[in-house]
Amino acid sequence: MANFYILTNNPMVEEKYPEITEFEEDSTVGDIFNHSRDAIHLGANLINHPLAGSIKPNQSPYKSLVLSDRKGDLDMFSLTLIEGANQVLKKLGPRRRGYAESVLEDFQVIDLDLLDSAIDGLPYEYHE
Amino acid sequence: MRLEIGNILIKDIAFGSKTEVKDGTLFVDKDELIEAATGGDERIKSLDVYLAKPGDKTRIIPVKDVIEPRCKVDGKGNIFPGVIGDVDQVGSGRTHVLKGAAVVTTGKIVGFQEGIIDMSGEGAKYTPFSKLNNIVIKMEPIDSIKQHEHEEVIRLAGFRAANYIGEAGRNVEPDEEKVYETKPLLEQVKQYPDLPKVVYVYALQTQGLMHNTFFYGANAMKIVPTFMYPTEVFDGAITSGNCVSACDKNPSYVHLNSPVIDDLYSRHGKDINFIGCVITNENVTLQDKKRSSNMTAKLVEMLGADAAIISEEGFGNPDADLVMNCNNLENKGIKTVLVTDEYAGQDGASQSLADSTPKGDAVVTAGNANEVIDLPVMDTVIGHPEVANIIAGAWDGSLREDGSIEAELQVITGSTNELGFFNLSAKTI
Repeated sequence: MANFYILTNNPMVEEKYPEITEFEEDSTVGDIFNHSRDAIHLGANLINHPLAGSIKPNQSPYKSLVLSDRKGDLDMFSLTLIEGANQVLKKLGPRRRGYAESVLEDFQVIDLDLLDSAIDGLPYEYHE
Repeated sequence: MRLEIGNILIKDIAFGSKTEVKDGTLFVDKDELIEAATGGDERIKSLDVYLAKPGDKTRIIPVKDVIEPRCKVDGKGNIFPGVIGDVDQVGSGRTHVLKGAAVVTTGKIVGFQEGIIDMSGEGAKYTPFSKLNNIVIKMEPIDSIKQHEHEEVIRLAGFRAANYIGEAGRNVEPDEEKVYETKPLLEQVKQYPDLPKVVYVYALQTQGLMHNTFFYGANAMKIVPTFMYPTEVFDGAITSGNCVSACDKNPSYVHLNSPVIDDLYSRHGKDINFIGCVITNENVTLQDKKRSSNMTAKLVEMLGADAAIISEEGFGNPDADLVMNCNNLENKGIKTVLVTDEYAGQDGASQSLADSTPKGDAVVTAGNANEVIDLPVMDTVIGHPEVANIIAGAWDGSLREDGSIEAELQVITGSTNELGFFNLSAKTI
Protein backbone atom coordinates (compact mmCIF):
# COMPACT_ATOMS: atom_id res chain seq x y z
CA MET A 1 0.00 0.00 0.00
CA ALA A 2 1.29 3.40 -0.92
CA ASN A 3 2.42 5.73 1.84
CA PHE A 4 1.81 8.88 -0.17
CA TYR A 5 -1.03 10.27 -2.25
CA ILE A 6 -1.67 12.72 -5.05
CA LEU A 7 -4.05 15.62 -4.57
CA THR A 8 -5.18 16.83 -7.98
CA ASN A 9 -7.88 18.38 -10.12
CA ASN A 10 -6.40 16.86 -13.28
CA PRO A 11 -8.55 14.02 -14.68
CA MET A 12 -5.58 12.57 -16.57
CA VAL A 13 -3.78 12.01 -13.25
CA GLU A 14 -6.83 10.32 -11.77
CA GLU A 15 -6.92 8.04 -14.80
CA LYS A 16 -3.25 7.07 -14.58
CA TYR A 17 -2.94 6.71 -10.79
CA PRO A 18 -6.48 5.79 -9.65
CA GLU A 19 -5.33 3.95 -6.51
CA ILE A 20 -3.35 6.81 -5.02
CA THR A 21 -5.21 9.87 -6.24
CA GLU A 22 -7.57 12.12 -4.35
CA PHE A 23 -9.39 13.68 -7.25
CA GLU A 24 -11.17 16.98 -6.73
CA GLU A 25 -12.97 17.43 -9.99
CA ASP A 26 -14.17 20.99 -9.74
CA SER A 27 -11.36 22.40 -7.64
CA THR A 28 -9.24 25.35 -8.66
CA VAL A 29 -5.48 25.52 -8.30
CA GLY A 30 -6.10 27.69 -5.23
CA ASP A 31 -8.29 24.96 -3.72
CA ILE A 32 -5.57 22.35 -4.28
CA PHE A 33 -3.05 24.66 -2.59
CA ASN A 34 -5.39 25.26 0.35
CA HIS A 35 -6.29 21.60 0.83
CA SER A 36 -2.59 20.66 0.69
CA ARG A 37 -1.82 23.33 3.26
CA ASP A 38 -4.49 21.81 5.53
CA ALA A 39 -2.92 18.35 5.11
CA ILE A 40 0.52 19.80 5.88
CA HIS A 41 -0.83 21.29 9.11
CA LEU A 42 -1.99 17.77 10.00
CA GLY A 43 1.55 16.45 9.50
CA ALA A 44 1.88 15.61 5.81
CA ASN A 45 5.12 16.37 3.95
CA LEU A 46 5.01 17.97 0.52
CA ILE A 47 7.05 15.86 -1.91
CA ASN A 48 6.99 17.93 -5.11
CA HIS A 49 7.39 21.68 -5.43
CA PRO A 50 3.98 23.39 -5.61
CA LEU A 51 5.04 25.72 -8.42
CA ALA A 52 5.54 23.51 -11.41
CA GLY A 53 7.89 24.46 -14.15
CA SER A 54 7.64 27.81 -15.76
CA ILE A 55 3.93 27.66 -16.39
CA LYS A 56 2.44 30.24 -14.09
CA PRO A 57 -0.01 28.90 -11.50
CA ASN A 58 -2.76 31.16 -12.84
CA GLN A 59 -2.06 30.02 -16.39
CA SER A 60 -2.70 26.29 -16.03
CA PRO A 61 -6.05 25.29 -14.50
CA TYR A 62 -4.50 22.03 -13.24
CA LYS A 63 -2.34 21.20 -10.27
CA SER A 64 -1.14 17.89 -8.88
CA LEU A 65 0.66 17.75 -5.56
CA VAL A 66 2.26 14.70 -3.95
CA LEU A 67 1.85 14.46 -0.18
CA SER A 68 2.99 11.91 2.38
CA ASP A 69 0.44 10.02 4.49
CA ARG A 70 2.48 10.96 7.55
CA LYS A 71 0.63 12.32 10.54
CA GLY A 72 2.84 14.04 13.05
CA ASP A 73 4.74 17.25 13.64
CA LEU A 74 4.30 20.14 11.28
CA ASP A 75 6.99 20.22 8.58
CA MET A 76 7.87 23.90 8.34
CA PHE A 77 9.68 23.47 5.02
CA SER A 78 6.53 22.11 3.37
CA LEU A 79 4.41 24.83 4.94
CA THR A 80 6.72 27.61 3.76
CA LEU A 81 6.59 26.29 0.21
CA ILE A 82 2.83 25.96 0.03
CA GLU A 83 2.25 29.39 1.59
CA GLY A 84 4.78 30.86 -0.84
CA ALA A 85 2.98 29.26 -3.77
CA ASN A 86 -0.33 30.68 -2.55
CA GLN A 87 1.23 34.13 -2.38
CA VAL A 88 2.42 33.82 -5.98
CA LEU A 89 -1.03 32.72 -7.09
CA LYS A 90 -2.67 35.69 -5.37
CA LYS A 91 -0.13 38.09 -6.82
CA LEU A 92 -0.66 36.92 -10.38
CA GLY A 93 -4.43 37.16 -10.04
CA PRO A 94 -7.17 35.12 -11.68
CA ARG A 95 -7.53 34.45 -15.39
CA ARG A 96 -10.84 35.76 -16.60
CA ARG A 97 -11.56 33.40 -19.44
CA GLY A 98 -11.81 29.72 -20.24
CA TYR A 99 -9.78 27.56 -22.58
CA ALA A 100 -10.78 25.43 -25.56
CA GLU A 101 -10.97 21.66 -24.93
CA SER A 102 -7.76 20.94 -26.84
CA VAL A 103 -5.89 23.52 -24.79
CA LEU A 104 -7.22 21.99 -21.57
CA GLU A 105 -5.94 18.61 -22.71
CA ASP A 106 -2.48 20.08 -23.33
CA PHE A 107 -2.41 21.56 -19.82
CA GLN A 108 -3.42 18.16 -18.44
CA VAL A 109 -0.60 16.45 -20.35
CA ILE A 110 2.02 18.88 -19.06
CA ASP A 111 0.75 18.69 -15.48
CA LEU A 112 0.81 14.88 -15.72
CA ASP A 113 4.33 14.93 -17.19
CA LEU A 114 5.67 17.07 -14.36
CA LEU A 115 3.91 14.78 -11.88
CA ASP A 116 5.44 11.71 -13.58
CA SER A 117 8.85 13.34 -13.09
CA ALA A 118 8.04 13.61 -9.39
CA ILE A 119 6.84 10.01 -9.10
CA ASP A 120 9.98 8.82 -10.96
CA GLY A 121 12.12 10.76 -8.52
CA LEU A 122 10.22 9.70 -5.43
CA PRO A 123 12.41 9.52 -2.32
CA TYR A 124 13.15 5.92 -1.21
CA GLU A 125 11.10 6.24 1.94
CA TYR A 126 7.99 6.33 -0.22
CA HIS A 127 6.50 3.39 -2.10
CA GLU A 128 3.46 2.75 -4.24
CA MET B 1 40.90 23.39 -22.97
CA ARG B 2 41.52 26.08 -25.59
CA LEU B 3 38.94 27.17 -28.15
CA GLU B 4 39.31 29.67 -30.97
CA ILE B 5 36.08 31.27 -32.10
CA GLY B 6 36.12 32.79 -35.58
CA ASN B 7 33.22 35.13 -36.18
CA ILE B 8 32.08 35.57 -39.77
CA LEU B 9 29.97 38.72 -39.71
CA ILE B 10 26.68 38.23 -41.53
CA LYS B 11 25.13 41.55 -42.60
CA ASP B 12 22.36 40.25 -44.84
CA ILE B 13 20.56 37.06 -45.86
CA ALA B 14 18.85 35.99 -49.08
CA PHE B 15 17.70 32.86 -50.82
CA GLY B 16 20.08 31.68 -53.52
CA SER B 17 20.94 28.70 -55.69
CA LYS B 18 23.70 27.62 -53.29
CA THR B 19 24.13 27.93 -49.51
CA GLU B 20 27.21 30.12 -49.08
CA VAL B 21 28.61 33.29 -47.55
CA LYS B 22 29.66 36.01 -50.02
CA ASP B 23 30.88 39.42 -48.86
CA GLY B 24 28.94 39.25 -45.62
CA THR B 25 25.71 37.99 -47.17
CA LEU B 26 24.46 34.53 -46.29
CA PHE B 27 22.73 32.91 -49.26
CA VAL B 28 20.50 29.95 -48.51
CA ASP B 29 19.45 27.24 -50.93
CA LYS B 30 15.90 26.89 -49.69
CA ASP B 31 15.22 23.41 -51.09
CA GLU B 32 18.43 21.98 -49.72
CA LEU B 33 17.75 23.58 -46.32
CA ILE B 34 14.25 22.11 -46.23
CA GLU B 35 15.68 18.68 -47.03
CA ALA B 36 18.41 18.99 -44.40
CA ALA B 37 16.04 20.28 -41.71
CA THR B 38 13.48 17.56 -42.43
CA GLY B 39 16.25 14.97 -42.22
CA GLY B 40 13.99 12.18 -43.46
CA ASP B 41 11.81 12.44 -40.33
CA GLU B 42 8.51 10.90 -41.38
CA ARG B 43 6.75 12.62 -38.51
CA ILE B 44 7.06 15.97 -40.29
CA LYS B 45 4.03 16.87 -42.40
CA SER B 46 5.20 20.23 -43.71
CA LEU B 47 8.28 22.37 -43.32
CA ASP B 48 8.79 25.79 -44.85
CA VAL B 49 11.44 28.48 -44.59
CA TYR B 50 11.04 32.26 -44.32
CA LEU B 51 13.52 35.09 -43.90
CA ALA B 52 13.04 37.85 -41.32
CA LYS B 53 15.55 40.70 -41.29
CA PRO B 54 16.11 43.59 -38.87
CA GLY B 55 13.73 46.43 -39.70
CA ASP B 56 11.21 44.19 -41.51
CA LYS B 57 7.60 44.73 -40.47
CA THR B 58 7.47 41.09 -39.48
CA ARG B 59 6.30 39.26 -36.37
CA ILE B 60 7.35 35.67 -35.60
CA ILE B 61 4.93 33.87 -33.25
CA PRO B 62 5.08 31.43 -31.48
CA VAL B 63 8.86 31.09 -31.24
CA LYS B 64 10.22 27.77 -29.98
CA ASP B 65 13.99 28.11 -30.14
CA VAL B 66 16.64 30.40 -31.61
CA ILE B 67 19.86 28.71 -32.72
CA GLU B 68 23.11 30.16 -34.02
CA PRO B 69 24.72 28.46 -37.03
CA ARG B 70 28.23 27.27 -36.21
CA CYS B 71 30.64 24.66 -37.48
CA LYS B 72 33.63 22.91 -36.04
CA VAL B 73 36.63 23.42 -38.31
CA ASP B 74 39.34 21.99 -36.08
CA GLY B 75 39.34 19.84 -32.95
CA LYS B 76 37.25 16.94 -31.80
CA GLY B 77 33.56 16.50 -32.36
CA ASN B 78 30.90 18.56 -34.07
CA ILE B 79 28.48 21.27 -33.01
CA PHE B 80 25.60 19.94 -30.83
CA PRO B 81 27.35 16.69 -29.81
CA GLY B 82 24.92 13.93 -28.95
CA VAL B 83 22.16 15.77 -30.79
CA ILE B 84 23.70 15.99 -34.26
CA GLY B 85 26.24 13.24 -34.76
CA ASP B 86 28.40 11.52 -32.17
CA VAL B 87 28.96 12.54 -28.55
CA ASP B 88 32.64 13.45 -28.88
CA GLN B 89 34.13 15.82 -26.33
CA VAL B 90 33.84 19.41 -27.61
CA GLY B 91 35.20 22.75 -26.40
CA SER B 92 38.67 22.75 -27.94
CA GLY B 93 40.09 23.51 -31.36
CA ARG B 94 38.46 26.01 -33.66
CA THR B 95 34.84 26.90 -34.34
CA HIS B 96 33.42 29.21 -37.00
CA VAL B 97 30.29 31.23 -36.25
CA LEU B 98 27.90 32.93 -38.67
CA LYS B 99 27.58 35.93 -36.36
CA GLY B 100 24.44 37.94 -37.07
CA ALA B 101 22.42 35.01 -38.43
CA ALA B 102 20.06 32.68 -36.58
CA VAL B 103 17.66 29.83 -37.12
CA VAL B 104 14.29 30.47 -35.46
CA THR B 105 11.83 27.60 -35.11
CA THR B 106 8.08 28.16 -35.06
CA GLY B 107 4.94 26.01 -35.17
CA LYS B 108 2.33 25.03 -32.64
CA ILE B 109 3.28 22.43 -30.07
CA VAL B 110 0.46 22.61 -27.59
CA GLY B 111 -2.67 24.71 -27.43
CA PHE B 112 -1.22 27.48 -25.33
CA GLN B 113 1.70 29.19 -26.92
CA GLU B 114 4.17 31.92 -26.36
CA GLY B 115 7.18 33.67 -27.73
CA ILE B 116 7.10 36.72 -29.99
CA ILE B 117 9.95 38.22 -31.99
CA ASP B 118 9.06 41.50 -33.73
CA MET B 119 11.64 42.60 -36.28
CA SER B 120 10.72 46.31 -35.99
CA GLY B 121 8.63 48.69 -33.90
CA GLU B 122 8.18 48.77 -30.12
CA GLY B 123 8.49 45.00 -29.65
CA ALA B 124 11.83 44.85 -31.46
CA LYS B 125 13.38 46.96 -28.70
CA TYR B 126 12.62 44.23 -26.19
CA THR B 127 14.28 41.26 -27.86
CA PRO B 128 17.91 40.72 -28.81
CA PHE B 129 16.79 38.50 -31.68
CA SER B 130 15.27 41.40 -33.65
CA LYS B 131 18.83 42.46 -34.48
CA LEU B 132 19.61 39.18 -36.27
CA ASN B 133 19.08 37.96 -39.80
CA ASN B 134 16.66 35.17 -39.03
CA ILE B 135 16.01 32.06 -41.05
CA VAL B 136 12.62 30.94 -39.78
CA ILE B 137 11.69 27.26 -39.91
CA LYS B 138 7.94 26.75 -39.70
CA MET B 139 6.98 23.15 -39.37
CA GLU B 140 3.92 21.08 -38.62
CA PRO B 141 4.03 17.40 -37.75
CA ILE B 142 1.63 14.67 -38.86
CA ASP B 143 -1.76 14.76 -37.14
CA SER B 144 -1.44 11.59 -35.06
CA ILE B 145 1.60 12.79 -33.12
CA LYS B 146 1.41 13.35 -29.35
CA GLN B 147 2.81 16.27 -27.40
CA HIS B 148 6.13 14.70 -26.32
CA GLU B 149 7.09 13.61 -29.82
CA HIS B 150 5.89 16.88 -31.30
CA GLU B 151 8.31 18.81 -29.10
CA GLU B 152 11.17 16.51 -30.05
CA VAL B 153 10.44 16.67 -33.78
CA ILE B 154 10.50 20.47 -33.93
CA ARG B 155 13.53 20.70 -31.62
CA LEU B 156 15.65 18.34 -33.72
CA ALA B 157 14.60 19.96 -37.02
CA GLY B 158 15.97 23.27 -35.69
CA PHE B 159 19.37 21.79 -34.87
CA ARG B 160 19.60 20.04 -38.23
CA ALA B 161 18.81 23.36 -39.96
CA ALA B 162 21.42 25.27 -37.93
CA ASN B 163 23.97 22.55 -38.55
CA TYR B 164 23.37 22.66 -42.30
CA ILE B 165 23.63 26.46 -42.46
CA GLY B 166 26.67 26.53 -40.14
CA GLU B 167 28.60 24.45 -42.67
CA ALA B 168 28.54 27.48 -45.01
CA GLY B 169 31.13 29.07 -42.74
CA ARG B 170 33.62 26.21 -42.88
CA ASN B 171 35.96 27.64 -45.53
CA VAL B 172 35.30 31.34 -44.97
CA GLU B 173 37.99 33.54 -43.41
CA PRO B 174 36.48 34.98 -40.18
CA ASP B 175 36.25 38.74 -39.68
CA GLU B 176 37.23 38.54 -36.03
CA GLU B 177 38.71 36.00 -33.69
CA LYS B 178 38.47 35.32 -29.97
CA VAL B 179 40.41 32.78 -27.94
CA TYR B 180 39.06 31.26 -24.72
CA GLU B 181 41.13 28.99 -22.51
CA THR B 182 40.67 27.18 -19.23
CA LYS B 183 43.44 24.88 -18.05
CA PRO B 184 43.01 21.71 -15.97
CA LEU B 185 42.14 22.81 -12.42
CA LEU B 186 45.53 22.63 -10.66
CA GLU B 187 47.27 24.44 -13.52
CA GLN B 188 44.48 26.99 -13.74
CA VAL B 189 44.74 27.76 -10.03
CA LYS B 190 48.53 28.20 -10.36
CA GLN B 191 48.24 30.52 -13.35
CA TYR B 192 46.78 33.39 -11.32
CA PRO B 193 47.49 32.43 -7.69
CA ASP B 194 46.72 35.88 -6.30
CA LEU B 195 43.33 36.38 -7.93
CA PRO B 196 40.03 35.25 -6.38
CA LYS B 197 38.90 31.93 -7.83
CA VAL B 198 35.43 32.12 -9.37
CA VAL B 199 33.14 29.27 -10.44
CA TYR B 200 30.00 29.64 -12.50
CA VAL B 201 27.01 27.58 -11.25
CA TYR B 202 24.91 27.09 -14.37
CA ALA B 203 21.41 25.82 -13.51
CA LEU B 204 19.49 24.14 -16.33
CA GLN B 205 15.69 23.94 -16.49
CA THR B 206 14.79 20.23 -16.37
CA GLN B 207 11.27 19.63 -15.13
CA GLY B 208 9.61 17.64 -17.88
CA LEU B 209 7.79 18.20 -21.12
CA MET B 210 8.61 21.59 -22.64
CA HIS B 211 10.83 22.27 -19.62
CA ASN B 212 13.91 20.28 -20.59
CA THR B 213 17.56 21.03 -21.32
CA PHE B 214 20.06 18.62 -22.83
CA PHE B 215 23.76 18.12 -22.06
CA TYR B 216 25.54 16.27 -24.86
CA GLY B 217 22.09 15.08 -25.92
CA ALA B 218 21.23 13.63 -22.51
CA ASN B 219 18.26 15.02 -20.63
CA ALA B 220 19.89 17.01 -17.81
CA MET B 221 16.99 15.98 -15.55
CA LYS B 222 18.83 12.70 -15.03
CA ILE B 223 22.27 14.09 -14.24
CA VAL B 224 23.78 14.88 -10.89
CA PRO B 225 25.68 18.19 -10.90
CA THR B 226 28.96 17.95 -12.71
CA PHE B 227 32.02 19.94 -13.80
CA MET B 228 32.27 21.50 -17.24
CA TYR B 229 34.96 23.44 -19.08
CA PRO B 230 33.31 26.77 -19.95
CA THR B 231 34.29 26.45 -23.64
CA GLU B 232 32.09 23.39 -24.06
CA VAL B 233 28.95 25.53 -24.30
CA PHE B 234 30.36 27.47 -27.26
CA ASP B 235 30.27 24.21 -29.25
CA GLY B 236 26.68 23.37 -28.33
CA ALA B 237 27.21 21.00 -25.38
CA ILE B 238 24.03 22.48 -23.87
CA THR B 239 20.89 22.63 -26.02
CA SER B 240 17.43 23.88 -25.16
CA GLY B 241 14.21 21.87 -25.22
CA ASN B 242 12.46 24.61 -23.35
CA CYS B 243 9.26 25.89 -24.90
CA VAL B 244 7.65 27.83 -22.08
CA SER B 245 8.50 31.11 -20.44
CA ALA B 246 9.47 33.03 -23.56
CA CYS B 247 11.00 35.98 -21.74
CA ASP B 248 13.30 34.08 -19.42
CA LYS B 249 14.03 30.71 -20.97
CA ASN B 250 17.51 30.23 -22.36
CA PRO B 251 17.24 29.55 -26.09
CA SER B 252 20.09 27.48 -27.54
CA TYR B 253 21.46 30.71 -29.05
CA VAL B 254 22.00 32.11 -25.56
CA HIS B 255 23.75 28.96 -24.32
CA LEU B 256 26.05 29.11 -27.37
CA ASN B 257 26.82 32.74 -26.54
CA SER B 258 26.59 32.45 -22.75
CA PRO B 259 27.05 36.06 -21.64
CA VAL B 260 28.02 35.01 -18.10
CA ILE B 261 30.84 32.82 -19.39
CA ASP B 262 31.94 35.42 -21.95
CA ASP B 263 32.05 38.15 -19.30
CA LEU B 264 33.88 35.94 -16.79
CA TYR B 265 36.53 35.25 -19.45
CA SER B 266 36.86 38.99 -20.13
CA ARG B 267 37.87 39.48 -16.46
CA HIS B 268 39.89 36.25 -16.33
CA GLY B 269 43.51 36.94 -15.40
CA LYS B 270 42.72 40.60 -14.67
CA ASP B 271 40.68 40.64 -11.49
CA ILE B 272 39.47 37.04 -11.20
CA ASN B 273 40.65 33.52 -11.91
CA PHE B 274 37.69 31.86 -13.68
CA ILE B 275 38.36 28.20 -12.89
CA GLY B 276 35.32 26.52 -14.43
CA CYS B 277 31.61 25.73 -14.42
CA VAL B 278 29.39 23.45 -12.39
CA ILE B 279 26.20 22.55 -14.21
CA THR B 280 23.17 21.58 -12.16
CA ASN B 281 19.48 21.01 -12.80
CA GLU B 282 16.07 22.29 -11.66
CA ASN B 283 13.87 19.30 -10.86
CA VAL B 284 10.36 18.90 -9.48
CA THR B 285 10.75 16.98 -6.23
CA LEU B 286 12.14 18.66 -3.17
CA GLN B 287 14.51 15.73 -2.58
CA ASP B 288 16.01 16.17 -6.06
CA LYS B 289 16.40 19.89 -5.39
CA LYS B 290 18.18 19.23 -2.10
CA ARG B 291 20.45 16.57 -3.63
CA SER B 292 21.42 18.80 -6.55
CA SER B 293 22.00 21.92 -4.50
CA ASN B 294 24.00 20.03 -1.84
CA MET B 295 26.13 18.43 -4.51
CA THR B 296 26.61 21.72 -6.31
CA ALA B 297 27.91 23.33 -3.14
CA LYS B 298 30.23 20.36 -2.53
CA LEU B 299 31.67 20.54 -6.07
CA VAL B 300 32.22 24.30 -5.87
CA GLU B 301 33.97 23.79 -2.52
CA MET B 302 36.11 20.97 -3.97
CA LEU B 303 37.20 23.31 -6.75
CA GLY B 304 38.43 25.67 -4.05
CA ALA B 305 36.34 28.62 -5.22
CA ASP B 306 36.22 31.91 -3.33
CA ALA B 307 33.10 33.06 -5.12
CA ALA B 308 30.39 31.83 -7.47
CA ILE B 309 27.97 33.32 -9.97
CA ILE B 310 24.64 31.42 -9.91
CA SER B 311 22.09 31.68 -12.70
CA GLU B 312 18.61 30.15 -12.95
CA GLU B 313 16.18 29.46 -15.76
CA GLY B 314 12.45 30.05 -15.43
CA PHE B 315 10.18 31.35 -12.73
CA GLY B 316 8.59 29.98 -9.55
CA ASN B 317 9.89 26.52 -8.84
CA PRO B 318 13.47 27.33 -10.05
CA ASP B 319 13.58 30.22 -7.58
CA ALA B 320 13.79 27.50 -4.90
CA ASP B 321 16.90 26.02 -6.56
CA LEU B 322 18.43 29.49 -6.83
CA VAL B 323 17.87 30.18 -3.15
CA MET B 324 19.09 26.72 -2.04
CA ASN B 325 22.26 27.07 -4.12
CA CYS B 326 22.83 30.53 -2.64
CA ASN B 327 22.32 29.39 0.97
CA ASN B 328 24.45 26.26 0.62
CA LEU B 329 27.38 28.11 -0.92
CA GLU B 330 27.23 31.08 1.46
CA ASN B 331 27.10 28.65 4.39
CA LYS B 332 30.42 27.25 3.16
CA GLY B 333 31.87 30.75 3.11
CA ILE B 334 31.75 31.06 -0.68
CA LYS B 335 30.46 34.46 -1.83
CA THR B 336 27.64 34.39 -4.35
CA VAL B 337 26.13 36.66 -6.96
CA LEU B 338 22.72 35.62 -8.30
CA VAL B 339 21.34 36.36 -11.76
CA THR B 340 17.55 36.29 -12.21
CA ASP B 341 14.59 38.24 -13.53
CA GLU B 342 11.47 39.40 -11.70
CA TYR B 343 7.70 38.86 -11.66
CA ALA B 344 6.89 41.88 -9.59
CA GLY B 345 3.37 42.52 -10.89
CA GLN B 346 2.30 45.01 -13.55
CA ASP B 347 2.98 47.90 -11.15
CA GLY B 348 6.32 46.40 -10.06
CA ALA B 349 5.28 46.54 -6.39
CA SER B 350 4.99 42.83 -5.54
CA GLN B 351 7.66 40.46 -4.28
CA SER B 352 9.77 39.56 -7.29
CA LEU B 353 10.66 35.92 -6.68
CA ALA B 354 8.73 32.95 -5.29
CA ASP B 355 11.45 32.33 -2.73
CA SER B 356 14.00 34.50 -0.96
CA THR B 357 16.97 34.47 1.41
CA PRO B 358 18.78 37.17 3.37
CA LYS B 359 22.04 35.65 2.12
CA GLY B 360 21.12 36.65 -1.43
CA ASP B 361 22.46 40.16 -0.97
CA ALA B 362 24.13 40.47 -4.37
CA VAL B 363 21.61 40.01 -7.15
CA VAL B 364 21.58 41.07 -10.78
CA THR B 365 18.09 41.42 -12.27
CA ALA B 366 17.16 41.23 -15.93
CA GLY B 367 13.91 43.18 -15.58
CA ASN B 368 10.24 42.80 -14.62
CA ALA B 369 8.43 40.31 -16.87
CA ASN B 370 5.01 41.68 -15.85
CA GLU B 371 5.63 45.11 -17.38
CA VAL B 372 2.85 45.85 -19.92
CA ILE B 373 3.83 46.70 -23.48
CA ASP B 374 2.01 47.55 -26.68
CA LEU B 375 2.99 45.89 -29.93
CA PRO B 376 1.95 47.54 -33.21
CA VAL B 377 0.46 45.88 -36.28
CA MET B 378 2.95 44.13 -38.57
CA ASP B 379 2.70 43.62 -42.33
CA THR B 380 3.75 39.98 -42.15
CA VAL B 381 3.21 37.36 -39.47
CA ILE B 382 5.21 34.13 -39.65
CA GLY B 383 3.67 31.35 -37.60
CA HIS B 384 0.24 31.48 -35.97
CA PRO B 385 -0.99 35.01 -35.14
CA GLU B 386 -4.17 33.77 -33.44
CA VAL B 387 -2.20 32.34 -30.52
CA ALA B 388 -1.48 35.86 -29.25
CA ASN B 389 -4.65 35.59 -27.18
CA ILE B 390 -3.56 32.47 -25.32
CA ILE B 391 0.10 33.07 -24.67
CA ALA B 392 1.39 33.50 -21.13
CA GLY B 393 1.36 37.15 -20.23
CA ALA B 394 -1.57 37.89 -22.50
CA TRP B 395 -5.25 38.02 -21.71
CA ASP B 396 -8.49 37.73 -23.64
CA GLY B 397 -8.49 40.71 -25.97
CA SER B 398 -4.72 41.01 -25.96
CA LEU B 399 -4.85 40.52 -29.70
CA ARG B 400 -6.84 43.44 -31.05
CA GLU B 401 -8.90 43.26 -34.24
CA ASP B 402 -6.33 45.27 -36.19
CA GLY B 403 -3.57 42.79 -35.24
CA SER B 404 -1.86 44.89 -32.58
CA ILE B 405 -1.18 43.31 -29.19
CA GLU B 406 -1.25 44.53 -25.60
CA ALA B 407 0.47 42.11 -23.24
CA GLU B 408 3.09 41.67 -20.57
CA LEU B 409 6.78 41.68 -21.43
CA GLN B 410 6.89 37.94 -20.76
CA VAL B 411 5.47 37.28 -24.25
CA ILE B 412 8.67 38.51 -25.89
CA THR B 413 11.37 35.91 -26.52
CA GLY B 414 14.55 36.75 -24.64
CA SER B 415 13.29 40.01 -23.10
CA THR B 416 14.28 39.24 -19.49
CA ASN B 417 16.80 36.50 -20.18
CA GLU B 418 18.25 35.25 -16.90
CA LEU B 419 21.76 34.80 -18.23
CA GLY B 420 21.78 38.56 -18.79
CA PHE B 421 21.90 38.20 -22.55
CA PHE B 422 19.76 41.31 -23.05
CA ASN B 423 19.95 44.86 -21.76
CA LEU B 424 16.89 45.19 -19.50
CA SER B 425 17.15 45.58 -15.75
CA ALA B 426 15.11 47.01 -12.88
CA LYS B 427 15.82 49.44 -10.09
CA THR B 428 14.60 49.71 -6.53
CA ILE B 429 12.89 53.08 -6.05
